[in-house]
Amino acid sequence: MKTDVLVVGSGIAGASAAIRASEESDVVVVTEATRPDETNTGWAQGGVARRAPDEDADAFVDDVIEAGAGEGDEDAVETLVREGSRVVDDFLVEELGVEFDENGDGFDLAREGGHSNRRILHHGDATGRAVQVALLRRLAESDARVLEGHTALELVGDEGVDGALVVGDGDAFVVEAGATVLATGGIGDVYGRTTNPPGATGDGVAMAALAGAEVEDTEYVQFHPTAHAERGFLLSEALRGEGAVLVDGDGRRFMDAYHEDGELAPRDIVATAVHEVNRDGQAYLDLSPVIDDGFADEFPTAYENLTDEETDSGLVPVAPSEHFLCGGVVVDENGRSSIDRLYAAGETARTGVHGANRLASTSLLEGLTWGLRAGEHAAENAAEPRSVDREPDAFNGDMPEGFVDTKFDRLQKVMWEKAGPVRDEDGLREARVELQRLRGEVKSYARGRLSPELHSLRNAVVVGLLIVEAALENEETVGCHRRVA
Amino acid sequence: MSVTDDAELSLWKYSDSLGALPEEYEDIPEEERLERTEAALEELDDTVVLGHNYQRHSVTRHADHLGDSLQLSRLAGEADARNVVFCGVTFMAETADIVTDEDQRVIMPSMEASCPMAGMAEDIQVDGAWNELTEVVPAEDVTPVTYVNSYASLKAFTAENGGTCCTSSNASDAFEWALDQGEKILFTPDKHLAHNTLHELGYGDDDFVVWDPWEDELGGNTPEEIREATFILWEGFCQVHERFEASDVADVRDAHPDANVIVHPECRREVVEAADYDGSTSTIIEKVENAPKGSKWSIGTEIHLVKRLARENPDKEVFGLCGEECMDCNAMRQIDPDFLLYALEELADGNVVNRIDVDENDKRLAEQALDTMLSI
Repeated sequence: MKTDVLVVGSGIAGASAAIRASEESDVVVVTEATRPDETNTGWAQGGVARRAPDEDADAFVDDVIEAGAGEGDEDAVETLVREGSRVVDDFLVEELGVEFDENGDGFDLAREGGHSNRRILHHGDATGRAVQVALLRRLAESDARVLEGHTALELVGDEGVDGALVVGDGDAFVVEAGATVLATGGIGDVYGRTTNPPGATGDGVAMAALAGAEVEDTEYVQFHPTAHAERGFLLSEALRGEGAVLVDGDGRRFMDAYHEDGELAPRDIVATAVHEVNRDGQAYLDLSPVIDDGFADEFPTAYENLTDEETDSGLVPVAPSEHFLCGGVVVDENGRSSIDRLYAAGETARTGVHGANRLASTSLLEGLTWGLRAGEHAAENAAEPRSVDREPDAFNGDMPEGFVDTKFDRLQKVMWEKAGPVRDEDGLREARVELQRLRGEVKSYARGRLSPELHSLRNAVVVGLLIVEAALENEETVGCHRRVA
Repeated sequence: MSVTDDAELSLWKYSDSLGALPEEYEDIPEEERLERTEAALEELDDTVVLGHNYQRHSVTRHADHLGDSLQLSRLAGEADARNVVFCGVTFMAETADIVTDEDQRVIMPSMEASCPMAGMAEDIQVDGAWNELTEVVPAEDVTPVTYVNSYASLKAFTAENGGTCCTSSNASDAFEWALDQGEKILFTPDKHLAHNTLHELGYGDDDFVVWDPWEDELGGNTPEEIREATFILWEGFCQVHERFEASDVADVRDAHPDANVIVHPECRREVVEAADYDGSTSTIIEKVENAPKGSKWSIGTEIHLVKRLARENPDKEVFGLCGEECMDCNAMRQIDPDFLLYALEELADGNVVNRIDVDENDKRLAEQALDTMLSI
């Protein structure tokens, strides 16, 4: 199969890139997802931040930079705020028809931790789903060929990237492409306890790294402070924004001891606090201040997932959970990576926007802004697809069923214990040895097999190693990277 | 099929080291690499380099000794060298660490040379299986026999439960010994070696079950099946040897009716049955070396040993049982001459990289399981 532009992934970054690129080029989209609730975008609960009508853009820029511990790239943040705010209106609202909640005066704007203003558009507490549904509808109307339920196993090409080896529907083939955009979303399965949907294995980051692309800032892994401690689903920051508080087992609030903004402190502070309270006890999110007649309407996702006992008492046990990789494939203002004809966008990319930590409700904004830019640039500059001499090679039998799960357990145990919310040098060194050994093994299992699961496992281990290497090198506590002695 | 020189097999294209190998060690011209490797070795007088039979020539040319895993570990123990640079896979280096003195350091050029078969039997899985198994049959009736191709922690488990290690050349002796201890054997991690060994001892396919640790209950068996079986075979295998098929042997017979086919006992049963001979790498080497001039040998084991035998026996025709790609061990290939140079130069500078350091308790117990094997 030949195409001008190959896009891997169909969340906000991939779909936006594909929609934009398909306006002037042939586009093939390879996506494992077959439904809106199978992408990270579809699971985003918070919302989309955009410059509020009455505010100066600099206020928003400052919030993003401050959340990123001053490590962000100012030019990238300017683009995010100025252009991002514009494409939210032009593309999401106008072109796609996403219906964000309104009140009498226009959009109903929410405020979340780290924001100095109410500026977040939302659709109940399932903003991501509304956005994803609209994107997939528009993608289906476009001229892009969408290969649902397909997986990209490897990038191909000797000098630069000329497409990917793809499997799906019992078939393996090479998609030869003039430009390739990676937008595969998050890395939740590297840690196990995650707010991401299943299948978030950092495929794009790993494939790009294996092809020799520059990858940076991978130590900056954001842990959401308030996932359900047992059932794993996310209790959105907006709940705290609206008045829910964190308490320990004795019902005492503890956040004021950590930060002057209490429950609205930056995520890493809240995550560390919850992590520490959970060492000897259990932290709870006390929802009683927000459980009123409007709760079910305002937070339907949380409402549906809670038990009657939890909504009655208002007390929900919480724990940190892997949420977002701030770093990733290093890209420029047009989403171009360090190797020819390869782009990355969304969580896969490191645009420089997030620095050492990400401000709430900016991931959809980033995916949208860089997705559109990458799609446009790729379409305008796509080279004639080169022919690739690469036979899909399956010379091995199957591995036993369930085998991959056991290896994931091992990876996740190492990552959670040694490269989780809090890290120390000895633990990271042990993790590196264990992961190098694991990587050696999984390379052998993946080789000569066309199994998407084995390749995802290999990718997840590669991402784990990239996190551990970067976390070892950065000896300071910065943003969401917490090093202790 | 022609046997080419020892050119690198670039079967799997990706930049491999991701930080494990410093950039300045990539793309060193061959001649410079050779010179620098020799210079580093010159400087390191208290160092022995061991190379496994499956390592490529560009690595083994620098080795003081070649051999299979156990031979090399013995050599490591006998060597008086402070540094043992082990060009093989992790479990072998662990064994070398177990048998060497406290003041000897075992170093691997790359930590990613980890055996995928050893990785199919992780200690946590085997512990779980043992607990489940011994609820159905008394623990004293089951003797663990563990192939040396396994991590040290699994060897330690073996000693803790009264078992022994074995190699591919002494597996039958280990089986006979174990059946004197109790009525059943739990064999880890290679089902094919066990399958071939039990046949060699006159048992048949009704006498064993395969324990699949990824199944929910009793490795996919009923309690009745477990009680009736003499041998419980762990669902593990070597990625290289499992690739050979009986049809490969048939193809060779068609093309070369006068060829002798010799395979490793890690191959599937039907491959061993179709072959003329089977044996460990040492047996294969011996057999070919002692064969008459002009004889033809088709060999079913890792490609680099086959190439070496072809190189060292120019008076015979020696070739592989299937293609190079199909016979290449990915784990062994993680040790490349760049990694070797890196480890040696660091060592010459006084930095020990990639030291293998087995946990003390595992070390003590694993040594016990190895000693039991040597005493049989």
